[in-house]
Amino acid sequence: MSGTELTLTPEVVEAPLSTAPPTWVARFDGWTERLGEYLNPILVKECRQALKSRQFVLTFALVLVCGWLWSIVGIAWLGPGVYYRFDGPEMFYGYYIILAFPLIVVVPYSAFRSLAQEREDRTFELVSITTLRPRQVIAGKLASAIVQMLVYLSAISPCLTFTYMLRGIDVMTIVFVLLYLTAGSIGLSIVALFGAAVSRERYWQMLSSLGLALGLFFLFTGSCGLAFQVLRMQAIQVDDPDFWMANAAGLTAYLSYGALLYLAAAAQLTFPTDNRSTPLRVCMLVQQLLAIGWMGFGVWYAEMDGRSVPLAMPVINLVIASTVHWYVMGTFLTGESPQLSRRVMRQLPRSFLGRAFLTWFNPGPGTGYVFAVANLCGVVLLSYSVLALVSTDAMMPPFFGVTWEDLARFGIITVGYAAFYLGLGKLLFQAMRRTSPVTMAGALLVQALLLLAGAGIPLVVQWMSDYQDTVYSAAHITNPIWTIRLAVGPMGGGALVDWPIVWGVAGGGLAVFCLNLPSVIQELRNVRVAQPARVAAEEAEERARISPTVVVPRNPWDEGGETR
Amino acid sequence: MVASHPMIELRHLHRYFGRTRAVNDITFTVRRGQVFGYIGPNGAGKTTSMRILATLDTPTSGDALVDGFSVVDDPDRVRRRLGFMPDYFGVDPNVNVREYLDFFARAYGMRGSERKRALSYVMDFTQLEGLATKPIQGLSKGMKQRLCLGRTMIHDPGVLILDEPAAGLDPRARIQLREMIRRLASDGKTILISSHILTELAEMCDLVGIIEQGRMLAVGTVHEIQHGHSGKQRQSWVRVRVLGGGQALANWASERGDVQEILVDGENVSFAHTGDVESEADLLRGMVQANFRVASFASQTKSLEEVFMQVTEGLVQ
Ligand SMILES: Nc1ncnc2c1ncn2[C@@H]1O[C@H](COP(=O)(O)OP(=O)(O)OP(=O)(O)O)[C@@H](O)[C@H]1O
Ligand SMILES: [Mg+2]
Repeated sequence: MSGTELTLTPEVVEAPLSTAPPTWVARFDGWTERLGEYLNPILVKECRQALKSRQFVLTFALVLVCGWLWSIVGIAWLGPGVYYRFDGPEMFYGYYIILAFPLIVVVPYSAFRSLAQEREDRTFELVSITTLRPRQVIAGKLASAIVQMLVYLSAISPCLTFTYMLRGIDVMTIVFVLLYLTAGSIGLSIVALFGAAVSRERYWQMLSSLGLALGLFFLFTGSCGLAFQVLRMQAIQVDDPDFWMANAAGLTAYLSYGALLYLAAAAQLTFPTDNRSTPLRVCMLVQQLLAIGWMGFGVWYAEMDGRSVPLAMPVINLVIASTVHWYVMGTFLTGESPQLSRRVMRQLPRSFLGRAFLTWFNPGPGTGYVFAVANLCGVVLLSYSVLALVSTDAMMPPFFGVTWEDLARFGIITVGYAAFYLGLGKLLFQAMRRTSPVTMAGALLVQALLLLAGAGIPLVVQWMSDYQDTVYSAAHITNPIWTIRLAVGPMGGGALVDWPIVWGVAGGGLAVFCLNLPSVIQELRNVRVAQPARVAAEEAEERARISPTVVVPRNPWDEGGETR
Repeated sequence: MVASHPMIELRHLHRYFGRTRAVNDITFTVRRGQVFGYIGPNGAGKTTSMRILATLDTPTSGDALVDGFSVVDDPDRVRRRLGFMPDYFGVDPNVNVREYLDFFARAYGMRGSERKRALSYVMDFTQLEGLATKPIQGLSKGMKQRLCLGRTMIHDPGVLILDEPAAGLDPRARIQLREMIRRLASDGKTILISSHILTELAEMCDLVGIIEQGRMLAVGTVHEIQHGHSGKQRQSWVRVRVLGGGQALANWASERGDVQEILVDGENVSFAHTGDVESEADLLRGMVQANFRVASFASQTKSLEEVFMQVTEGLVQ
């Protein structure tokens, strides 16, 4: 507890301690002050504010009181049994609930409020015109959420030690449950900050505030149920290598999506002519590569272990997850504005290779569309190659029911649908933009409606005709979810989609792709513009300040002359 | 070192909100060390154009440059050298005066002794030292304005944009504020300051621009605005006290071509006189030579309020 307290109150150090004579205090004083210098300014400010805020003090007191009450009630209830029964899990579960409420509901929600409030109070404008970068703002808000989290954790930590002494629960279970809880809390705080960054207008803010509160409460109850299961089934098995594998894979997904949301939230806070897209695209690509890497590793690992897993399943799951990933990301990317700011145009790639490969990272709906579709295509090809490489001949056919032909159909269909729907959405945004600007939320809405229409209209038509039960037919070709599910077959039971439908989807995707080509080419025509002289001059000055002197030798032997 | 470019430059700046043309083709420049007064009635577009300069808003078209950097393309560079004092005060709950300034100093990347120096300089400059530990929710309007000004100058920016800094201040505080702005200008800061009141700015501004309905109606020194405006001849209001009754003087004066609107009130005669200072002096000499016992002769140019009323038309969009 002391560690967290000290970093968050540099001003405490300034006032009362400075009169204290002992040298270690002075040294400590200097140390915390130096540390305070390099802390995020937002963190420093928020901690000063939080310590004085009623909400924080109240929650903290409540956590403490609840913790002690539960301890007393628990001991009274256990009675003398405390000496011989293993009541650790029951007690721990109580503390978990006491801790989970602030961590899952209060901390993320107050992270959301702290950013939303700044918008309402108009203090955010004042912060945004300082030289603080948007990422620092988000990081500062997140860090102060983490500090709050740590304070709650430390409030309850004596109780947790107590549960360990009651026996029946091991250290690792305690540690891991708390780790998951903390990680969940941090993740939710990032989501909350993203939500606050996105919702600018008041009505959006109200809406997202309400949605967040409900969602967090729902997650809180869910997490309590989950924790109960974990404790009852003793699911934390640190001796099991699979446990660590699953954790590492989960951590990868968690970190990569956390980074993506963090970057996206920061992109929402930056000025409009800044390049908001490229860092996100890089992040998406890295994420995809990590996913493929994990898939390959998982398949290889299972085979090394001599386990007979249906090898096609991880690949199919990966492709489905990637389709969802690129579909959602593609929606945002195709919703971007086609006008590049002069600032972005200053950094466009110039070389042939750069233009061929890096152009797709530039902001713009056309490049975004190609980027999303090409990436999905890449995932399919790459994961199929991994599968072909890893699977030994003996295991090749039939992948527990899935053949290479099924995989081929499945791959073509997913890419085809992505090209079709994202491209259609992009054409629609293009038309809409003639009358009014397209926002991110608008893009998401249009895509959702498109998908709903594609899936819903054939269903409605079918219901209105005399068919009694719903069966799949060629009319449902616009329903991507159903078609893809059937292409994989129920649990890999073989494909139920015929080639004509596959070609139909592919043709539709290709046609829409071609319709989009003119606007894509238009975007590719953008070339780098020169930096204004004033900017170039200042950049040169900055560079000179970083490495002040470039030593120019006066003669071939003039290299310093220190050694004689 | 004298920069060759102006510190503030607006180039055909436009900003529309739907059909409202809040800023409609404004162009002007302010050089280093100049104080530019930005005057206009409510809804003229002062705040809108200042917010664009402060990188808080983007123009519909046109551009604005601060120290040679575009607010559209390089807001990050503009922010380093610009301080903006908005017409509102964002209150952070649970923060005292020192912490508030300390936060902004940190946010501008100041560390250690540099920050301490800046803090004590600003608190001294704005006379906030006595209030250092006062929570900012509890500050009065005038104190808040001072704190706001302190925040604006904490990172020692070369350009200051002040949106109605004198609003709501008592006379003494206004004079103090004027002093502060003079000091800042003499330190070489370039200042853009807005107000509804021309007289308020007259004494501290090198240049004045009058804006209405998003258009710049007149730019120039206070003198130019007051006199040379719109090419009309200078007109002044003359009050004369003649011992022994004013009616005779009124009769005498009514025969001259350059005197109109004569009013007589006992010994006091007042009239409008068209012409420069020279002809005014000749007028007085004429009176004396005609044996009028002139006890006082006062000439007043049209007040700034009158100019303002004349230039602007009171139109609101
Ligand atoms: N966010 C906005 N949305 C719509 N209209 C706006 C917005 N901001 C300003 N306007 C309009 O732009 C015009 C100029 O407003 P602005 O605030 O710039 O005037 P001002 O000169 O600062 O006036 P005041 O002296 O009252 O502060 C007004 O007609 C106003 O209604
Ligand atoms: Mg205003």
